[in-house]
Amino acid sequence: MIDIKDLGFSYGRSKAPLFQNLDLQLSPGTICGMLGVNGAGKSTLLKLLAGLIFPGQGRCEVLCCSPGDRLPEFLADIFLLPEEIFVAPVTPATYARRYGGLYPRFDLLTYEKLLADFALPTDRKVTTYSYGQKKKFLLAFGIATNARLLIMDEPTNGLDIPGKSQFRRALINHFAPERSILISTHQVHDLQGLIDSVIVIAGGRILLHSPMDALAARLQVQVEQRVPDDALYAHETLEGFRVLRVNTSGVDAELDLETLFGFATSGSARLQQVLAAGAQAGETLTGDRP
Amino acid sequence: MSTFHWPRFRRVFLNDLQQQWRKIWISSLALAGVVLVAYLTNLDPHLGARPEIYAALFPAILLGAGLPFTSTIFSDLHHPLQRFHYLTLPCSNLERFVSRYLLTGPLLILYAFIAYAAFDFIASVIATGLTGRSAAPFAPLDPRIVEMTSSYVQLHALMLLGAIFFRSYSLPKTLIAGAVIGFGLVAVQLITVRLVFWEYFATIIPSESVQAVRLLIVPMPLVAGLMTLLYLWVLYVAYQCLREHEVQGEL
Repeated sequence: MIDIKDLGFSYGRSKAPLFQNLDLQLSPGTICGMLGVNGAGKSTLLKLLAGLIFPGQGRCEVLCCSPGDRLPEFLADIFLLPEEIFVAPVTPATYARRYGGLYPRFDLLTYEKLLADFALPTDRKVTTYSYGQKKKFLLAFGIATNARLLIMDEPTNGLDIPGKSQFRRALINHFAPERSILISTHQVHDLQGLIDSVIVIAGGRILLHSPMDALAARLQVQVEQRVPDDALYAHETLEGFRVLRVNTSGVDAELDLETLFGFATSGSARLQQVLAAGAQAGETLTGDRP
Repeated sequence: MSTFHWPRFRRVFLNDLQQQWRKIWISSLALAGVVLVAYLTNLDPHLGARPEIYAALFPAILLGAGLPFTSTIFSDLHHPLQRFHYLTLPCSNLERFVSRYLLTGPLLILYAFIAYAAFDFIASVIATGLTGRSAAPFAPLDPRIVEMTSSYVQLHALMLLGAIFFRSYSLPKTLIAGAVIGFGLVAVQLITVRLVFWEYFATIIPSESVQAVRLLIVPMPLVAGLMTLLYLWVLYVAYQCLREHEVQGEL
């Protein structure tokens, strides 16, 4: 689905490279969350995947195509939902006719069903919608395109509480093994329980890329009143310390993404040890060495 | 992998047309008003010959409306929000380019001819009813009209390139860039003549080399051929600019 090898990129020749020798592979049938602080390079990576900017060096292939070629067959197979969105000043029906017609596998029934699920008024121009409604509308359109890769940047920004659960439901209900969804966000709680793999990116490097179940088998997060000696990472919350440690219980538990992100970006050398241990155990944990 | 698919191109073109429809409609109404005002204010009942209003008005309208229209046709390519939508629509760069080229070039010229002829006729009827006189009817094949239309075709290619290349204020920037390049070419031409025919000039005043350039006899077919090549080259560069356009800034 996504195959990036030795990717290099910088905004202008005089500027420091944002990515150097970046490697990333993503298989079909994955809902992947991409986490990173501001300026980590998440949006740049999404733009590279969508063919909006071109790599300076290395290979960037998405769906066996070079995104920068912007071939129509490739563009019909991806859908990008940016953080700041544009919609044409037309009704949903006209929108589907104008732009849905360019996607060979556009499914009008799915589109109409999702609009109904999201309770979006179909008799009004899309530009009169609120920000959250516009996001829901574009999500409905994106899913209905039946594109094999959905790329979303902060998709839950501006969504109300029911909207967030509708968002999760829509993604899960319309997910298929041949599809992949890449979600970049700061709202880690919105991804909890939704994603099946995670990428943590910082300073233009991928610190962590792993299936969630492999991580859950290796690590666990517990709330404790003090930081134990065997803690890999801990951060303070109102209820106590969220402590990340090696999972010795033998039972996979859901990992708290915020704690995992904190651990991955803490610069701790123990991340590499855990990854190495996981790799020795045959798990597909990967991460760039600092 | 096909880069030009007729049904898809048709959809892209219709989208572009529908996107620009409001502009075209408002411009058409403005054109009707301008033609009528020009007729009513330029027909003197006491004059003998019928004035050829179209000779000045049509080129002014074509250039005055067509070039600004062309300069804004790729505004969504540079708009912070629209560019993501535009560049990720599943169509080829060639389809994107040809659609907007046709819309602002050949089809706009055709539309201008038809609309002007219609408004010219209506204004003539109204002016005859009010003043008892009418202007000479619009003659699309008048050499002055043909010459100005071919000028528009050349300038349109430049403006299309500017619309893709410049992120903002593409009209003034393209005009300035065009003027600078034009003056540069003339200067190079004059200096070259001055240097090549050094012994024939007593001074370095360029007026002598202007005379010399004028003496050069270049066959018209060659000039036309060179102009066509230049035109195609500018269009090719514009297409390449679109193909290699990258989105800077945040998503």
